[in-house]
Amino acid sequence: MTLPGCATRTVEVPVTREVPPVVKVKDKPPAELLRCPETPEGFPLDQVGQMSNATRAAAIRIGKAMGVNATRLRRLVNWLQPDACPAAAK
Amino acid sequence: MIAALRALWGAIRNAREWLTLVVVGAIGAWLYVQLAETRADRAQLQAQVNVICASAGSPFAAATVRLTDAKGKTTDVAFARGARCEQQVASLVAFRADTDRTTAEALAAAMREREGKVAVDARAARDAVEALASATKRMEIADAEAQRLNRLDHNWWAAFNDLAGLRDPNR
Repeated sequence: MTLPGCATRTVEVPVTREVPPVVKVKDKPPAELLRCPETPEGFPLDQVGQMSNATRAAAIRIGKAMGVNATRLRRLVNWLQPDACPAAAK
Repeated sequence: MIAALRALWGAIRNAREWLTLVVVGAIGAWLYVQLAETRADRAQLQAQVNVICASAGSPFAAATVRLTDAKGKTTDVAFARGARCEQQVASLVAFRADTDRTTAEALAAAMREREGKVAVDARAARDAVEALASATKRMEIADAEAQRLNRLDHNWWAAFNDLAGLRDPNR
Protein backbone atom coordinates (compact mmCIF):
# COMPACT_ATOMS: atom_id res chain seq x y z
CA MET A 1 0.00 0.00 0.00
CA THR A 2 1.29 3.41 -0.87
CA LEU A 3 0.73 6.34 1.41
CA PRO A 4 -0.91 9.19 -0.48
CA GLY A 5 2.01 11.52 0.31
CA CYS A 6 4.54 9.07 -1.07
CA ALA A 7 2.79 8.42 -4.33
CA THR A 8 4.50 9.83 -7.36
CA ARG A 9 3.10 13.23 -8.07
CA THR A 10 1.74 13.65 -11.52
CA VAL A 11 1.01 17.08 -12.83
CA GLU A 12 -2.38 17.30 -14.42
CA VAL A 13 -2.01 19.31 -17.55
CA PRO A 14 -5.10 20.11 -19.57
CA VAL A 15 -4.67 18.76 -23.05
CA THR A 16 -5.78 21.28 -25.60
CA ARG A 17 -8.27 19.75 -28.01
CA GLU A 18 -8.98 21.62 -31.12
CA VAL A 19 -12.58 22.15 -32.03
CA PRO A 20 -13.52 20.64 -35.39
CA PRO A 21 -14.19 23.31 -37.99
CA VAL A 22 -17.75 22.27 -38.67
CA VAL A 23 -19.83 25.33 -39.36
CA LYS A 24 -23.56 25.07 -39.73
CA VAL A 25 -24.55 27.71 -42.23
CA LYS A 26 -27.81 29.36 -41.38
CA ASP A 27 -28.72 31.71 -44.18
CA LYS A 28 -31.95 33.02 -42.81
CA PRO A 29 -33.53 35.87 -44.75
CA PRO A 30 -34.53 39.05 -42.89
CA ALA A 31 -37.82 39.01 -40.98
CA GLU A 32 -39.31 41.39 -43.52
CA LEU A 33 -39.10 38.67 -46.17
CA LEU A 34 -40.56 36.04 -43.86
CA ARG A 35 -43.84 37.85 -43.27
CA CYS A 36 -46.92 35.93 -44.23
CA PRO A 37 -48.93 37.18 -47.20
CA GLU A 38 -51.49 39.86 -46.50
CA THR A 39 -55.11 38.74 -46.51
CA PRO A 40 -57.23 41.87 -46.67
CA GLU A 41 -60.96 41.76 -46.22
CA GLY A 42 -62.70 41.04 -49.50
CA PHE A 43 -65.49 42.82 -51.29
CA PRO A 44 -68.78 43.21 -49.43
CA LEU A 45 -71.13 40.52 -50.63
CA ASP A 46 -74.31 42.57 -50.64
CA GLN A 47 -73.28 44.81 -53.53
CA VAL A 48 -75.22 44.52 -56.73
CA GLY A 49 -73.71 46.05 -59.80
CA GLN A 50 -72.76 45.72 -63.39
CA MET A 51 -69.42 45.18 -65.08
CA SER A 52 -68.59 44.70 -68.72
CA ASN A 53 -67.32 41.30 -69.80
CA ALA A 54 -63.80 42.61 -70.37
CA THR A 55 -63.65 44.28 -66.94
CA ARG A 56 -64.98 41.17 -65.23
CA ALA A 57 -62.40 39.01 -67.01
CA ALA A 58 -59.66 41.43 -65.96
CA ALA A 59 -60.85 41.43 -62.35
CA ILE A 60 -60.87 37.63 -62.31
CA ARG A 61 -57.38 37.53 -63.82
CA ILE A 62 -56.03 39.91 -61.19
CA GLY A 63 -57.79 38.17 -58.33
CA LYS A 64 -56.57 34.75 -59.44
CA ALA A 65 -52.98 35.97 -59.75
CA MET A 66 -53.21 37.49 -56.28
CA GLY A 67 -54.46 34.27 -54.76
CA VAL A 68 -51.83 32.18 -56.51
CA ASN A 69 -49.05 34.54 -55.44
CA ALA A 70 -50.22 34.56 -51.84
CA THR A 71 -50.33 30.75 -51.76
CA ARG A 72 -46.86 30.51 -53.24
CA LEU A 73 -45.45 33.07 -50.80
CA ARG A 74 -46.99 31.17 -47.92
CA ARG A 75 -45.34 27.96 -49.12
CA LEU A 76 -42.01 29.73 -49.46
CA VAL A 77 -42.15 31.21 -45.96
CA ASN A 78 -43.16 27.85 -44.54
CA TRP A 79 -40.22 26.27 -46.32
CA LEU A 80 -37.80 28.74 -44.78
CA GLN A 81 -39.46 28.79 -41.37
CA PRO A 82 -41.67 25.75 -40.76
CA ASP A 83 -45.24 26.42 -39.63
CA ALA A 84 -44.76 30.19 -39.74
CA CYS A 85 -47.82 30.79 -41.95
CA PRO A 86 -50.78 28.49 -41.46
CA ALA A 87 -53.06 27.97 -44.45
CA ALA A 88 -55.59 30.75 -44.98
CA ALA A 89 -58.81 30.27 -43.07
CA LYS A 90 -61.71 29.90 -45.46
CA MET B 1 40.14 -45.14 -40.19
CA ILE B 2 40.68 -44.78 -36.48
CA ALA B 3 44.26 -43.91 -37.17
CA ALA B 4 43.22 -41.08 -39.46
CA LEU B 5 40.81 -39.63 -36.82
CA ARG B 6 43.51 -39.87 -34.25
CA ALA B 7 45.92 -37.99 -36.55
CA LEU B 8 43.29 -35.21 -37.10
CA TRP B 9 42.66 -34.85 -33.36
CA GLY B 10 46.37 -34.59 -32.84
CA ALA B 11 46.64 -31.83 -35.40
CA ILE B 12 43.79 -29.92 -33.80
CA ARG B 13 45.33 -30.27 -30.37
CA ASN B 14 48.62 -28.98 -31.59
CA ALA B 15 47.11 -25.91 -33.28
CA ARG B 16 44.58 -25.10 -30.52
CA GLU B 17 45.74 -21.54 -29.87
CA TRP B 18 45.47 -20.64 -33.52
CA LEU B 19 42.08 -22.19 -33.90
CA THR B 20 40.77 -20.38 -30.80
CA LEU B 21 42.07 -17.12 -32.20
CA VAL B 22 40.37 -17.73 -35.51
CA VAL B 23 37.05 -18.55 -33.81
CA VAL B 24 37.24 -15.48 -31.55
CA GLY B 25 38.12 -13.35 -34.55
CA ALA B 26 35.14 -14.67 -36.51
CA ILE B 27 32.75 -13.95 -33.64
CA GLY B 28 34.23 -10.49 -33.23
CA ALA B 29 33.80 -9.73 -36.90
CA TRP B 30 30.22 -10.96 -36.78
CA LEU B 31 29.44 -8.78 -33.76
CA TYR B 32 31.06 -5.79 -35.44
CA VAL B 33 28.88 -6.17 -38.49
CA GLN B 34 25.80 -6.51 -36.31
CA LEU B 35 26.71 -3.36 -34.38
CA ALA B 36 27.32 -1.37 -37.53
CA GLU B 37 23.98 -2.44 -38.94
CA THR B 38 22.21 -1.56 -35.69
CA ARG B 39 23.86 1.85 -35.59
CA ALA B 40 22.88 2.65 -39.15
CA ASP B 41 19.36 1.47 -38.44
CA ARG B 42 19.15 3.55 -35.28
CA ALA B 43 20.45 6.67 -37.00
CA GLN B 44 17.93 6.25 -39.79
CA LEU B 45 15.05 5.74 -37.37
CA GLN B 46 16.09 8.73 -35.32
CA ALA B 47 16.22 10.94 -38.38
CA GLN B 48 12.86 9.67 -39.54
CA VAL B 49 11.17 10.11 -36.17
CA ASN B 50 12.49 13.67 -36.04
CA VAL B 51 11.02 14.37 -39.45
CA ILE B 52 7.71 12.72 -38.55
CA CYS B 53 7.38 14.62 -35.29
CA ALA B 54 8.37 17.89 -36.91
CA SER B 55 5.71 17.45 -39.56
CA ALA B 56 3.17 16.60 -36.85
CA GLY B 57 4.05 19.92 -35.28
CA SER B 58 5.80 18.90 -32.06
CA PRO B 59 9.48 18.06 -31.47
CA PHE B 60 10.65 14.58 -30.53
CA ALA B 61 13.33 15.63 -28.09
CA ALA B 62 12.76 15.63 -24.34
CA ALA B 63 12.08 19.05 -22.91
CA THR B 64 10.77 20.89 -19.89
CA VAL B 65 7.83 23.01 -20.82
CA ARG B 66 6.13 25.65 -18.74
CA LEU B 67 2.42 24.86 -18.72
CA THR B 68 -0.68 25.91 -16.86
CA ASP B 69 -2.28 23.06 -14.94
CA ALA B 70 -5.96 22.43 -14.38
CA LYS B 71 -6.06 24.82 -11.42
CA GLY B 72 -4.52 27.63 -13.40
CA LYS B 73 -1.08 27.38 -11.79
CA THR B 74 2.03 27.52 -13.94
CA THR B 75 4.25 24.49 -13.59
CA ASP B 76 7.28 23.15 -15.36
CA VAL B 77 6.44 19.80 -16.85
CA ALA B 78 9.24 17.52 -17.95
CA PHE B 79 8.32 15.61 -21.05
CA ALA B 80 10.25 12.46 -21.79
CA ARG B 81 11.66 11.91 -25.24
CA GLY B 82 8.80 11.48 -27.66
CA ALA B 83 6.05 12.22 -25.11
CA ARG B 84 5.07 15.56 -26.60
CA CYS B 85 5.14 14.18 -30.10
CA GLU B 86 2.97 11.24 -29.06
CA GLN B 87 0.48 13.57 -27.41
CA GLN B 88 0.38 15.74 -30.49
CA VAL B 89 -0.22 12.81 -32.82
CA ALA B 90 -2.97 11.45 -30.57
CA SER B 91 -4.59 14.86 -30.51
CA LEU B 92 -4.41 15.13 -34.29
CA VAL B 93 -5.98 11.72 -34.72
CA ALA B 94 -8.76 12.67 -32.30
CA PHE B 95 -9.24 15.93 -34.15
CA ARG B 96 -9.59 14.13 -37.43
CA ALA B 97 -12.10 11.68 -36.00
CA ASP B 98 -14.09 14.46 -34.33
CA THR B 99 -14.17 16.46 -37.55
CA ASP B 100 -15.41 13.52 -39.58
CA ARG B 101 -18.05 12.65 -37.03
CA THR B 102 -19.41 16.16 -36.57
CA THR B 103 -19.40 16.75 -40.32
CA ALA B 104 -21.38 13.58 -40.88
CA GLU B 105 -23.80 14.55 -38.13
CA ALA B 106 -24.30 18.03 -39.57
CA LEU B 107 -24.90 16.67 -43.06
CA ALA B 108 -27.29 14.00 -41.83
CA ALA B 109 -29.25 16.57 -39.82
CA ALA B 110 -29.45 18.86 -42.85
CA MET B 111 -30.67 15.98 -45.01
CA ARG B 112 -33.32 14.98 -42.48
CA GLU B 113 -34.49 18.57 -42.19
CA ARG B 114 -34.73 18.87 -45.95
CA GLU B 115 -36.69 15.67 -46.29
CA GLY B 116 -39.19 16.92 -43.72
CA LYS B 117 -39.54 20.21 -45.57
CA VAL B 118 -40.08 18.48 -48.90
CA ALA B 119 -42.83 16.32 -47.44
CA VAL B 120 -44.59 19.28 -45.80
CA ASP B 121 -44.31 21.40 -48.94
CA ALA B 122 -45.58 18.62 -51.18
CA ARG B 123 -48.70 18.41 -49.01
CA ALA B 124 -49.13 22.20 -49.13
CA ALA B 125 -48.68 22.23 -52.91
CA ARG B 126 -51.30 19.51 -53.38
CA ASP B 127 -53.77 21.37 -51.18
CA ALA B 128 -53.09 24.61 -53.06
CA VAL B 129 -53.71 22.99 -56.44
CA GLU B 130 -56.98 21.48 -55.24
CA ALA B 131 -58.12 24.75 -53.68
CA LEU B 132 -57.25 26.71 -56.83
CA ALA B 133 -59.09 24.24 -59.06
CA SER B 134 -62.25 24.37 -56.97
CA ALA B 135 -62.12 28.18 -56.62
CA THR B 136 -61.61 28.59 -60.38
CA LYS B 137 -64.53 26.33 -61.13
CA ARG B 138 -66.78 28.19 -58.70
CA MET B 139 -65.71 31.52 -60.27
CA GLU B 140 -66.45 30.26 -63.78
CA ILE B 141 -69.93 29.17 -62.78
CA ALA B 142 -70.64 32.46 -60.98
CA ASP B 143 -69.22 34.46 -63.90
CA ALA B 144 -71.33 32.63 -66.44
CA GLU B 145 -74.36 33.40 -64.30
CA ALA B 146 -73.32 37.07 -64.02
CA GLN B 147 -72.91 37.29 -67.78
CA ARG B 148 -76.31 35.73 -68.34
CA LEU B 149 -78.05 38.14 -65.91
CA ASN B 150 -75.69 41.06 -66.68
CA ARG B 151 -75.52 41.63 -62.93
CA LEU B 152 -72.94 40.99 -60.21
CA ASP B 153 -74.53 39.33 -57.24
CA HIS B 154 -73.65 37.81 -53.94
CA ASN B 155 -72.33 34.60 -55.54
CA TRP B 156 -69.97 36.41 -57.85
CA TRP B 157 -68.42 38.49 -55.06
CA ALA B 158 -68.06 35.48 -52.81
CA ALA B 159 -66.43 33.45 -55.59
CA PHE B 160 -64.11 36.36 -56.35
CA ASN B 161 -63.04 36.76 -52.71
CA ASP B 162 -62.38 33.05 -52.52
CA LEU B 163 -60.34 33.03 -55.73
CA ALA B 164 -58.22 36.02 -54.70
CA GLY B 165 -57.64 34.64 -51.22
CA LEU B 166 -59.45 37.57 -49.58
CA ARG B 167 -61.11 37.31 -46.22
CA ASP B 168 -64.85 36.95 -46.18
CA PRO B 169 -66.13 40.32 -44.86
CA ASN B 170 -69.08 38.65 -43.17
CA ARG B 171 -66.86 36.63 -40.90
